[in-house]
Amino acid sequence: MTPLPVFPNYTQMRQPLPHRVWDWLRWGSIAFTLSVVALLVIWPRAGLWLVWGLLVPLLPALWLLAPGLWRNVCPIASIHQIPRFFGFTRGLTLPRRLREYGYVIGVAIFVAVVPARKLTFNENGPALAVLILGVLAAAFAGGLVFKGKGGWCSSGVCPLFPVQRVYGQTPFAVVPNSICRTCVGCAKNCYDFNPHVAYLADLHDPDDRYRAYRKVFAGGFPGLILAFYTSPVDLAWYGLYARFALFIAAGIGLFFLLETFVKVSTAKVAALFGAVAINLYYWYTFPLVAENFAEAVEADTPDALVWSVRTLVLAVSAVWLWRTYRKEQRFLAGESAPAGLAPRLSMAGSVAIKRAGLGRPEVTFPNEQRRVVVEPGRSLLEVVEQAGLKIESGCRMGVCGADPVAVVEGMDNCSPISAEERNTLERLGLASNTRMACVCRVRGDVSVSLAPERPKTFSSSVIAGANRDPEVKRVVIVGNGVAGVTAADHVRRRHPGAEIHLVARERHHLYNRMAIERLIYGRSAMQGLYLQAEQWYEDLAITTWLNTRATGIDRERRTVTLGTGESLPYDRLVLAMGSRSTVPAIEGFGLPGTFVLREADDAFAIRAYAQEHGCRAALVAGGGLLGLEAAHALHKLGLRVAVLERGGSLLRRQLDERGGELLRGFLEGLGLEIVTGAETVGVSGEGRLRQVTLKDGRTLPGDLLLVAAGVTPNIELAREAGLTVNRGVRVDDYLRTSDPVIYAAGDIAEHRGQVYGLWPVAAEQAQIVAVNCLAPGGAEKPYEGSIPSTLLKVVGVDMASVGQFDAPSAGAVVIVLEEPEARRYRKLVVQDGLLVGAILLGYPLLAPVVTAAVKRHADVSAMLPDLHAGRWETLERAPAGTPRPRVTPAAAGGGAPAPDAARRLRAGHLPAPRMPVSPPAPEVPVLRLRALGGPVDGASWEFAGSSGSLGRAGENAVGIPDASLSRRHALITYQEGVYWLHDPGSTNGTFVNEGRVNAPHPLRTGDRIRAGATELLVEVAGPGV
Amino acid sequence: MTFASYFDYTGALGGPAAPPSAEFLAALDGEEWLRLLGYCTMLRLMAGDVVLPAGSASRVLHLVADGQLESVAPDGESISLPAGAVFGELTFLDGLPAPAEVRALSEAEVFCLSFEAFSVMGAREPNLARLVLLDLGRLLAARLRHQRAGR
Repeated sequence: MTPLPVFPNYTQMRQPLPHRVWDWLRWGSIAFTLSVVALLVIWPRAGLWLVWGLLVPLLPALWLLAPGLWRNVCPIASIHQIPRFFGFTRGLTLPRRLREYGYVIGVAIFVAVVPARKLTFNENGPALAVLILGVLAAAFAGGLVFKGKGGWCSSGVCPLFPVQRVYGQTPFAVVPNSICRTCVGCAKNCYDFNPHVAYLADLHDPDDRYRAYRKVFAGGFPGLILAFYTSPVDLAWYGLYARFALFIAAGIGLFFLLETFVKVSTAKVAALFGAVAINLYYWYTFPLVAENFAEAVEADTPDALVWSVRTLVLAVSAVWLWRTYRKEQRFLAGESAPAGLAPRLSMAGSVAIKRAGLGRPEVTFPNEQRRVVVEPGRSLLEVVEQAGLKIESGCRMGVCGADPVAVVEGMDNCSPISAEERNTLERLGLASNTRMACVCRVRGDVSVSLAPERPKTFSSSVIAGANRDPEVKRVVIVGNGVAGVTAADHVRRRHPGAEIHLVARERHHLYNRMAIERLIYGRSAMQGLYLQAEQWYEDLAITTWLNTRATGIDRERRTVTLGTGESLPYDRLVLAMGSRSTVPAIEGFGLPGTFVLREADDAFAIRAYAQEHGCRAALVAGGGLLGLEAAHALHKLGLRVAVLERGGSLLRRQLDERGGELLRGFLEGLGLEIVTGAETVGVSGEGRLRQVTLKDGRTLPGDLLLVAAGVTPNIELAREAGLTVNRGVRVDDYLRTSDPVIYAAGDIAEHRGQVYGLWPVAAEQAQIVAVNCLAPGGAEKPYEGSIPSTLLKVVGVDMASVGQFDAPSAGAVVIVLEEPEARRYRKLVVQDGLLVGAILLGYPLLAPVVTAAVKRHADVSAMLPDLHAGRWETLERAPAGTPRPRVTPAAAGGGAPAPDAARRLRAGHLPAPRMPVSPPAPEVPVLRLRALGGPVDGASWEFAGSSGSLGRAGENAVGIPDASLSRRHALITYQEGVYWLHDPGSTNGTFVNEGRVNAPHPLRTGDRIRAGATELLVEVAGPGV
Repeated sequence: MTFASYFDYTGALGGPAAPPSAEFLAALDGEEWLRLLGYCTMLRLMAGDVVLPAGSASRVLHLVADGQLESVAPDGESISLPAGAVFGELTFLDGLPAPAEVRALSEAEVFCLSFEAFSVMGAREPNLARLVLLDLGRLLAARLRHQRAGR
């Protein structure tokens, strides 16, 4: 049985009497009323005695105790319902004005009639009879026209209705509505529908005026009663009404005064006034009634009776008041209860939600009063962002220093500090409990402050006993990006007495360049973007030249000429001028509305332009990291964004085709439009950008174009100084340029033909430059090159790419696992048993483990089964391996440095075999294909419950560079434990055991597939085979 | 604040009718719920902690896992939010300031689905996100109907 709600409506209550009985009672009520009317005319004295001396004094008590009884048998309501009862009502909906002012009309009639009692109706039976008949006629007319009880009872036109609302708000006995067999929804907050809460709902109504009408009546009601009983009988009508008006106004004034200054709800004040009103009423009325009765029986009225009744009324009204107050709390709380439509969790949701947080560590932010339950392995940065707390972010690799936090408690429950993070922490120079939030991973409960303590004076982490050339006293660094500032920091650590000059073209100190997208969509400007406090430069005695251009290098005199005309002498010079955005040949580029995004000022300009011109659509030329991050920023600014990618897939330098495909789907799901094969060649528009033209002739409308086509190193200064330059400034393995006292680091440095253009690499190179430029001979610490590691900083993408993602040779093992439904994809590339590269899409917890493993060339030869089975967290235990010797570095300044190994392989060797494998499950048989001869002799591919194609094109699961194969030569499908081979119509045919495949052919162990010049040996292993 | 739910005439119009369910995502099974919760952040609250300040425009849908919270409007009116309650759905959808402050009355646990996390869910699991949106829409439509019926 369903329990009743706290405040049930009349349809949910049990009727004490059958409807038929109520009907007869109503007919009786009408008959009785008409008899009283007749009596008033025929025998006015008796009629008046009956009405004023007995019936009317009973009504307030009845309304207080059991108002439902009255409302079921009220003769006026009964007359009002006759047309409905007999089915001849027009049943119209109450007009809007009557709905709003019905209550006001009822109050006006009541206030007009009560004083009129003293003038006429107390003494004049026929007049009272006419009044009653008039009311009955009006009620009947209301019933004739309007539906339900809306024409009189519930709309408030009834003059008794306001009094019933006040007295009847907390019935002692509830008698459910018996008139409305079915509810027709004729009135707002219908009392007959839900008598417990109708008046409370009125007083909590969001409509100010609706509430005010009720408050005015409740406030004025005690005054009206007082005026009635205290006004002299001989007052002229206008004097009488004026007196009433005065008393009512005083009551209303008091009501609003209390409401304003007493900290209780309106409903409580209204109930208090109701209680006062009923006490006043019976204080004066009961003695009169008693006197009438006493006269009738020719006896005296006992004082004790009068006082007893007055006391009883006081007690009952006090209980009523207490019940009313108590009810309000339940009424307000009940709005969210099941009776309402406030959403609540389903049973399955309630069960799941109880389990979800069990046993997980907790991160506490005491200053923000937040405690967050987290998945073990999450970084503090992720936790802070998820908790909706304010924090900056940058490289997300612990290098840039954008997100320092203090671990107040539980440092042991955090991941250990890596060398990179240690370096960053030392550069920041904050309190010893500081961690970089992006790489500090939670393993147990920790307490975190988002504002690490800053020292009063910054000091450098001095490296005692650093090997340095005594002749090096002045170091000039050109460029204040991460390479320049890191070089300055590490020079200072090794040489406390050196004179260090940092020359910066930009007007800002080192800032978090990786977060400049935030300047496009965020509300704040540079606040939070600066990575070092201004004081840091002063305390470390690094002389910074902001907004200053280095215009020349005099290598003979060892001076750097500044745009201001000054010149800085140096013993060692570090070039760290970084790079600028590359703008390909786009006709009309420079038109207002065309932008690049490299520096903070670019981001400011984009945001300002988008606002000034009310931009709606943006185009981003370039589907690389910067392009996608910029596109996401523009999307967050509220623009419709299309990414125009020249190639066939996104992030071609970080992802293989499948990864690019999945990323594309994800970004499209976020709301970005991705257009591939779209090379931007022109822009046009009158006065400002209106459209972009692609190489294939297509045109796309847009208000704003952002070109993100890579970067160009700023080598002009070096070239003019006669240093050897190519794409960047060429450096040797000690990061020296062709001038042994000039070094280069960061985006400008070209090492072994590689210009990395990555923040962590720049920081790593700068540290090595600092060592070498101070060391005697200038060549203490070699630079071995870096394994590129990148993250896409678009919310939810969780993309990491590290090292080589194409197999460097046919003998490589490539493990690819995909969860298509969750759009997750991961790939490992293993060469000679060592991990050389990985792609992760949708695996944020694995990313740090895998990245670290690739960077230490982890030896995974003994754990391939685990890796095939998807247990990649085991990589944490993989020992560091020794990579194959790298190509001998060429001397800087002379011949071209040897090309990077990965590039060499990609350019000159076979394409990587690709092996799409679903997450291996033991119940799925695994298909292995091994090439016997042909261009990929020895290569193998695996299918675990998945399908794929075979052909000469790279996008095939089994891609073989064999010209005799069709582009898409054959298909392999998996169905109910069997792998099938299909030939969709290849030019040269597909054969199994020398029989041509004309229909789907099931594959079994030992089968030999021949396609073109390649033969593939089939092996099927696993359950059911 | 409206109290239309006390005057749900629709069920009574023409006789009794089943009121619309206020259950959020009743169609999801346990596994789907866990996937949904994977996009949420779980907060632990002490009595008195404010989880949603009045006027906050942070677009977060809150699901009460345990404990008792209350929503307090500037005029002092309060609504109880027990375990299983869902709140913040209006600001989650329209980004306008929350009309009331929500604070914990006891120790409590609340799952928060930010709009950003919801966007990620939309990109990664569009069907799940669609169900969330449709069910929120259904609940709001039902509430609107009730308000209209109560006028």
